[in-house]
Amino acid sequence: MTITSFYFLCFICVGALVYYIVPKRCQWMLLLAMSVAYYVLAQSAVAIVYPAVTIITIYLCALGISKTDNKKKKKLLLYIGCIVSVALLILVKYIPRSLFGLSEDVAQSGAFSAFMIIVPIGISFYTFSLLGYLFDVYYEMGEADTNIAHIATFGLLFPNMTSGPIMRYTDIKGTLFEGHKFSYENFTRGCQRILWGFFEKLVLAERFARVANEIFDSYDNYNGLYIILGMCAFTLQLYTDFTGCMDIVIGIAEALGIKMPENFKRPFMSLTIQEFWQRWHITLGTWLKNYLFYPLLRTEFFMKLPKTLKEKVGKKAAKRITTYLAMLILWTVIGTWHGGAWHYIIGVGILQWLFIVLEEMMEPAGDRLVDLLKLKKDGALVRTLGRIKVFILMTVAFAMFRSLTVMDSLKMMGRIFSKEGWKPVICEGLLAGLEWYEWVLMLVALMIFITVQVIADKNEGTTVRALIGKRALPVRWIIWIGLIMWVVLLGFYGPGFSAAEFIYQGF
Amino acid sequence: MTTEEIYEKLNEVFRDVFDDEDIEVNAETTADDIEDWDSLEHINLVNAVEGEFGIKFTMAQLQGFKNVGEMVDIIKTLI
Repeated sequence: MTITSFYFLCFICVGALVYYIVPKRCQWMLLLAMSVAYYVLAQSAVAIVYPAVTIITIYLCALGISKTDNKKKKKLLLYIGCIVSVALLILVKYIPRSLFGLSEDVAQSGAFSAFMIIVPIGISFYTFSLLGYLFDVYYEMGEADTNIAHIATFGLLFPNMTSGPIMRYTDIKGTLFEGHKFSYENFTRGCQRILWGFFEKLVLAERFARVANEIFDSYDNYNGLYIILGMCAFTLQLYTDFTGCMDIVIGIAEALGIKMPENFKRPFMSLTIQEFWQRWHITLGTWLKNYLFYPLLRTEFFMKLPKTLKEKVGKKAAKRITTYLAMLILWTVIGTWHGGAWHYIIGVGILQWLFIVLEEMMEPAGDRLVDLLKLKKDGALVRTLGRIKVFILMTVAFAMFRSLTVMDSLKMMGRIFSKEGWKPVICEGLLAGLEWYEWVLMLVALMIFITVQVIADKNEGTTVRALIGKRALPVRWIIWIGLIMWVVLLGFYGPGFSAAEFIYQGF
Repeated sequence: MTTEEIYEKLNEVFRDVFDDEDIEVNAETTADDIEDWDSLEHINLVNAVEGEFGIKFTMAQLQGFKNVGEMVDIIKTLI
């Protein structure tokens, strides 16, 4: 049951109806029941054992930490919580199932084998959210909750199981557990956001996916501009898919009166790669900063390193080397989080680190060039060039992320410069996987998407939905009904309606 | 140590960490007022402040400072 499926829509409609009928103090319990039901329906009753183990472990460890003053005991409980949940994550996600001699056929033969072969949905997301809660209790940045059902609701919250956002318990518990009276504004704004998410996912991402899949899966048939086209299509697919999913998830929460953290802030409007990562998958970045990067830089090794290096390389370089080393560890973890394979570790890990380090090191030279050409550093031209640079670098990195191996991605990118020359490849009447009118539909939708991004960027502090809300009634209705018609009639539903799966669901 | 003395020492630390001799902090100074004060430099700054005063902030304290005034209040409780 993906969140763009018909069944999921029915599930949400019935759930929202009951949510506003039950007494306010019971609303969060309904959310818990719906989350368990979603988990069972989307995967299987056996799969829920995984999050259940993590939830119980984290709940008990956090409670234990809050009840003792003994520092050693606190640390021990923190380690137990971390080891159990991280070990489960590594076991099901990163160790190939084939190591245990398990295959889909074996899974059919019994409950135990089935249990062993499952990769529970959202495991990275609930593990990180729950670990964050444990760290907050340990660092005294949040209180331990005595009610396990609260922790279970937080850990299992169903819209987040697909692709996040990763929540912080201290921030979400207020809005999650207080009752919510039906608010017409919240409800309609939530539904509008869900609709926009569907547009991004079904009208845009699914079409980009067709082009990207065609070119990435048979790159031997293509060269030159086609490869560039396929790579750009994947970058746009990944972005519209992920941000579309977030709009649906945050929109559902908004319709229920719950305020969830934002996960994207128009990342492709960034001028540098560092800024890009402050605006892409924001909750993962915040989590890693709070619970990995800061503690890492607070270890004795990293605190002493600048002093040790200072005498040899000078103060400035010593500080830089220390930061770059800590960042390398951080980026390796981010790459690994996406999957154990090298194309993930390099593409969305080490390569990003390299981009950021090079960007910083080349900044003075860039400034000099801007001065030499008598350009304005914050002028439109320099800013546009910065955005183009970010798009190109991220497209190269995402191509590696999308390819099956690092070698595959290099071979594919090598074909951009192939000597065969550029000629249109039309296979069975399709141009790179799409018919011509699909191309037109996709490009028109892309223009609308970019326009909305630009409007949103110029109106910080408000939303495009709020701006539309200020317009006259007929204008509002034309926009929203037009969007509904567009999604229903021109959404790309693929071979089966529920076939649309979010890329990030796998992480 | 008086509040003035704490600010005096803090100014030295800030100037050293951000490589800017013109920095003059007060209770209302925030990360927005100093160009290079991002999340990365924040940890470098905190580590340097700890070294200067011979104290140790908790993770909650170092993530909770909203301005230099709050940092000074915590320093006072630790020295």
